[in-house]
Amino acid sequence: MAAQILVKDLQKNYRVPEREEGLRATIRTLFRRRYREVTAVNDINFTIQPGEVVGFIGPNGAGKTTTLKILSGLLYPTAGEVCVAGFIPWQRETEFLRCISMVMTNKNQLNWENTAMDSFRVLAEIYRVPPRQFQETLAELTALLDMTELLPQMVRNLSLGQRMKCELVAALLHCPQILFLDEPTLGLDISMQLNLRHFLAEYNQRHGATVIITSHYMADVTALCSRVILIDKGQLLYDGDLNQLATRIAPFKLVKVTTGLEDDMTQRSTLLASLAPIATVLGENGRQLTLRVPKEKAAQAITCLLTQLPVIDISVEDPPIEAVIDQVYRQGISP
Amino acid sequence: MNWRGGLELIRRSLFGWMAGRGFFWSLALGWMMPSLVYLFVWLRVSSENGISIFSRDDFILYYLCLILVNQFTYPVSNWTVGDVIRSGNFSAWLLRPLPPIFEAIASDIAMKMVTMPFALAVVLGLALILRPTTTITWFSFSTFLLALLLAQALRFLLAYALALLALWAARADALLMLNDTLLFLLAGQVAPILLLPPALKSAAQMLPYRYMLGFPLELLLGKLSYSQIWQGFAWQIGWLSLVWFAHRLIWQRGISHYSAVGG
Repeated sequence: MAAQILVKDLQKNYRVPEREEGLRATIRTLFRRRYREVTAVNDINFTIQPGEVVGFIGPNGAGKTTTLKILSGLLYPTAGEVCVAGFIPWQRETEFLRCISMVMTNKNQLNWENTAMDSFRVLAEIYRVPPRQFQETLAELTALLDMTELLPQMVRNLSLGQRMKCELVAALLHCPQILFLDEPTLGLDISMQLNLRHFLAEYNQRHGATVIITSHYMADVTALCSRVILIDKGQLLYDGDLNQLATRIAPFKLVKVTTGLEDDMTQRSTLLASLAPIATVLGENGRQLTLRVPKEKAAQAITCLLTQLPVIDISVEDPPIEAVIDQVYRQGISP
Repeated sequence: MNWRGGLELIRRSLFGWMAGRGFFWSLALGWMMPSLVYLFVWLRVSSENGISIFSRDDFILYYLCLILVNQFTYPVSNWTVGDVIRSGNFSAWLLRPLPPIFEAIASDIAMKMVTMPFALAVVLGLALILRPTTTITWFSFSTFLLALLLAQALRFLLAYALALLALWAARADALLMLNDTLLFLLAGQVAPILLLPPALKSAAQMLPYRYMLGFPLELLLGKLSYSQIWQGFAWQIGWLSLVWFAHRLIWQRGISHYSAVGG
């Protein structure tokens, strides 16, 4: 199958003005400005197949949004090749713009002085959505997002979450093949985040749309994306399955044990000392104990704990994905 | 070209402007104030016989029509497009399969539809009070209409081109202020161009500003000879063509330079 998105040796440099602090430096910039070249994206390569949902993650300033903007045609790259749905994005051909959509938290398609419905009608005409299809898509989207009552309301009177629902409808009215989502759940409460994730998963299932999502909320990524592209300082660090990333970066399990009242602290210390070669104590809080154990040794450690301690509760968990990603951001990833 | 999309944009912009009509009528009142002030200054300065080729009635008609022409040609995109670029919302315009100029045109037309009835009511009220007498011929009226449409296009395009400079420079609005000042001085607002001192008059006849306001009014009042009329249209069309090419150039260079705000 031909790739829906192809990115080859992509590079984007910004020229940013800079100056030293103070009055003298400020005056000097009136006559001579100094610029610094910043590499936002550096030699990135990847392909995305139709219908894939890909999480694009990285710390602040990693180059995620810049890449998304290049893919959507908002920015010209400094070097490299990009092909999205068979088009070169920055040529911004009408047919290309009709098959993509981008949702950014701080930019909006809605007119604040009008009702949401008015904005939707304008977009339907701009995207040449036939009236019947418009009605059907609108009905489907408003039902999925449970927002029919928002249609006659003025956009300026909507809450952030309500507005984000409307933005999503605005972005999807023309049923784009490719959807770019930049921090779609930023600033939303927990239940709204869950709603949006559910909605996006449903939309992807129904329409087979390709979705690229950037988010600092790992819950967005784990709920929606089987594949993640991890970048930092403009460079691609990882491209693949999210679970494999966790296995590769953090090949251990977290074992949480709660012991009964009869727990003998001396006996516990002895046991922990004997487990020291395979288990690291991460925390001890009264009768609760958290151990980090290599995956292949987990069974052995659990057996020891169950046989030698008066265990009343035990759980084995993967390390939180946030911790894994944080480790990648701080320590990088070995090839 | 997606005309239906453009029309729907105008409709939406109209609803938006209608929602804040009180504010925009106040704005319109502000725009007509200088013309009203100069109308009364010139009425005071000129005696019953008028000044040079302008009679008292000519001054009244000139400034009352100036209010309408100014309202008709005022480019609201002057400020809004630059603001949209600076705020980063220009990205939303760029992502649509419709050239961004449609947004500016729609906003411009909608603003005129909201403010024109108000300006018309004020001008008609003043005309009833001041009762100017004049003879407007079909020829002067039709050349006025043609020059008015060209003036609207010229003023809009120049403002749009200057606003697009925000794609490069963060504070291109300083140029817009300079543009407005030159328009105030050299378009025929302070005084009809035909009454300016010779050096200033020559300069005004060569610069684009006269062709955005004063020229259509001079045609309406029948103050120009045939050769002056054709010369005027030649200048107006020449400037329009030049500004069109400048706007295309700024757009092409600016859009490749544009880096959306943030991230």
